[in-house]
Amino acid sequence: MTATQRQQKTALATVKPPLLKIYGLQCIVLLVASGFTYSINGVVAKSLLIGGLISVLPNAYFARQVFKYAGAAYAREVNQSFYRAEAGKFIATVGLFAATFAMVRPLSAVAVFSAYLVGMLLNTLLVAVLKNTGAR
Amino acid sequence: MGLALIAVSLMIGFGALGTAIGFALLGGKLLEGSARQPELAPMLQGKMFLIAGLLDAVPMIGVGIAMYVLFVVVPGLPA
Repeated sequence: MTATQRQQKTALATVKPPLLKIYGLQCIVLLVASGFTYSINGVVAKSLLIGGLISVLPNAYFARQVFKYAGAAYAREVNQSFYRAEAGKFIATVGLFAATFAMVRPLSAVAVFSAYLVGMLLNTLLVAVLKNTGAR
Repeated sequence: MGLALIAVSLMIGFGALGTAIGFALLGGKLLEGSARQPELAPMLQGKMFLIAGLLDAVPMIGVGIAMYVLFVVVPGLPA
């Protein structure tokens, strides 16, 4: 391992939040909420699950792309991976929403958007809370 | 129906434009900050990741509503 690679690895370890923990926790919350709702209304439970997945999957892709590089020596690569990640996330979100509304019937749109919104807020909250606990 | 399609294109277009401007500013500041103080670059990257999540939350919801209009509302409208 060269000195640059070692430096890159150290920088990644200091900057990278525990992504597996963040997205795993989101999936667990999503499954529990969907499971509870299933006993009341199956369509709403399905819509909650879909809305949450539309939030979690593009965000997980985004996080994976963003933390490919770290450190001042790789500032250009970090920036490029940020732009690539954002474009990918945008396209994935558009595609998933389009596929959901075009193919899934019956569907509760309010539940889809509510789960999506909660997923986004939960993502920000978990990143803010867990970012200093180290990479896993 | 034509107006609904214009609304969809505006929602997607302005959503993408807003996100693009926000990310351009964010990326520019990251490069500037990394050049000024290289030892802070990893910390800036972590903060940028956090802000990026907040930055594109609202445009993404707009895009979702656009898809709802396109695939649920528009097919129900008379041609």
